[in-house]
Parts: sequence; C-alpha cells; structure tokens
Amino acid sequence: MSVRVELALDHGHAECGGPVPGGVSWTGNRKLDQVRVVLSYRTEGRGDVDTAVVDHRDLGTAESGQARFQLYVPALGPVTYHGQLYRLLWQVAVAVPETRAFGRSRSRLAIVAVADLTVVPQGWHQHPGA
Amino acid sequence: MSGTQVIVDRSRRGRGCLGIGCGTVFGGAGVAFLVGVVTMFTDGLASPGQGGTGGLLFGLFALGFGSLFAAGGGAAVFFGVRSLWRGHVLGAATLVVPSAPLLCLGAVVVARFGRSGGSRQVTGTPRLTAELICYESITYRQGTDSHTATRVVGRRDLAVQVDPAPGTVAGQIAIAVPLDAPPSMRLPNNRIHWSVHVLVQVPGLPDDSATFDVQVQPMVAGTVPPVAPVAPW
Repeated sequence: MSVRVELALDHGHAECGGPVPGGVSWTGNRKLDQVRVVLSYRTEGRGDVDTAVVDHRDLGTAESGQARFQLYVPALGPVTYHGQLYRLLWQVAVAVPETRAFGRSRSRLAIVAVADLTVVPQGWHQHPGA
Repeated sequence: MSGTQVIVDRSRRGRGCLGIGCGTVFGGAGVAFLVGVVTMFTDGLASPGQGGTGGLLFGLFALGFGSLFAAGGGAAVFFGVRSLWRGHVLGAATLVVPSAPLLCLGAVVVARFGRSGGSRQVTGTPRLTAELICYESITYRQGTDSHTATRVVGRRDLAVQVDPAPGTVAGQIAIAVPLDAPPSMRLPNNRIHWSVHVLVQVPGLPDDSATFDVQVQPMVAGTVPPVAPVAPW
C-alpha cells in the first residue's frame, strides 16, 4: 500500500442531522483505485461491538489529487458516548480497495487515514448552557 | 406534529402471571416431593428395623429440602396473585405523553398519569411520586449464551401534581430531562433507555408502582423545530 493520504476535518465535532465537512489530498494511487471517504461509528466496552458506516463519498480514481467532501450524520445519531459499560466513537476514514496477491481480490477496503469526530445532539452548539 | 402517545404499563400482569406460574411449578414439585418422603417415612415406621439412623437423617434432610421448595413456591403464588389483584383493583396504569414539545435534552414535558378500569373506588387522596431513570445496558455472548448487563447512569425526582377529583388515581407529571445526559440509543448490543417510574400510595390499598419507557430524542430543547426524526432502526 503506497497511497499517502492527508485527511482534515473542518471541525472536530458535528451535530445529529448535521454536516461533516472536510478535505482530503492523496498521492501514490498508482493502481487508480477508487478513493473513498466514509463516516462510521463503533462501540467499545463490555458489550458486543456495534458498528455501522452511515455515509460515504467517492472522491475519484486519480493517481493524486485533492477534494472537498461533506458527509452527514443521521438525525438520530447515535451521539458520541462515554459510559460505564461502553463507549461509542465516531470517525471519518479514507479507504481504498485492498489489493491482494495477483491483484485479483478487491472486495475489502483498506483504511489509509482516520480522523476522530465527536457527535453531539442537534442544537447542542446553539444552547447557552451546553 | 401534534397528538399524544399513550404508554401502558403491563408489567404487573406479566409479573403476576410469572409468579403464579413459577410458584405452581416449584411449589407443586416441593409438595409432591414432601408427599413422597412422608410416604416413605411412614412405610419405614410401619416396618421397623429398616433404614436405621441413616434413613432417619436422610428422611429429615429430604423433608427440609421439600419444605423449602413448597414454601418458595407458595410465596411466589402469593405474590403473583397479590400483583394481579392490585392490577384488578387499581386498573391499568397509563402515561399520556404529548408529542409536542418533544421529549429531548433540557426539555420539560408535562405528561398525564392515570389508572383506569379498576374495580374499586378509591376513597382517600392518593400520593404519587415519580422518578426519571436513565439506564445503560449491553449484551454480550459467551459461548452459546447471551448475557445482558444494566447500569443506572442517572435518576432524578419529578414534580407531580395529583388530580384532586375523588375516586381517581391520576396526576400530572413534569418530565424534566437533564441537559447533560445521553439521549436514547438503541443499537443491537448497546443501548441507553429512559423510563418514568411512578409510585402510587393509596390509603387502604397496598403500594403500587408502574414503569413507562420513554424516548429521549438527541436534540436540545428550544433550539430545533418540534418535529421528531424518523428512527432509522
């Protein structure tokens, strides 16, 4: 894997139902794979893991390039959570198809860059007491 | 969005039926065991010389064991019948929550609690106390078994105004959701859920309680339009 990616979010937090804007630049995509940015959450803790990709954007197949993107958090979240029994964490990741031996299997995505995100309830930043 | 959501607490009927069912099974097994032991015992007494001290000790042990089952089963049946009887006397507990304003973080929503369909008129003024409780629960699998762990992560007393109308058990409950609390979350293995727990104390009747699950939206009160998003799960 020789693709080099720089991922930057405009903000480190987003509201439920709100946008997640950011930018990506990449080089070294010699196999001209599809570069994709995904928004996902994952739980950690005592319980079995719950994980989901809630939004994604394809950024193209250029060998190098840069792009702006805007992903969206679902209106019902879930919100970022740090509890006693589990934590729920969000992240934005840039992924390209994983090339295996002989270049034939490309079903899996390899994460090449990650940015953490905090998802808060809708209207959180407008509230004076929040 | 206007209208109301009516939440009915049916846990009492479930608990009553469960108590009666378990009590009947365990109590019946205990009584059957006791009858068998007593029969063996009397047969032994009728033909002296058999068993000796060991047989006597075994008989006493078996009697105690059977008595435990019978007593436990009897208690379960008693509490099950008592639970069903209270439900019959006081009626089904309901909580009517208005759809607007939305129940969300920092919101205060006035809901109406009531018991209806009871067979007996309530003569004294009832006393109602209510509590809002937030639970965190997880599910995990070990081998072929599935386990659930639950923790209370927050609770607060709610203001209650009892309905003064005679012969009724009703009142208004101000559900005040804290701002710094997590909203409801329902993932397959990790959940946050909220419930309103109401304790009813009526003169002349046993204390009663009801629990209503409510949905706290991931929004901050007063900052968003009062329209509930559609659940994706």
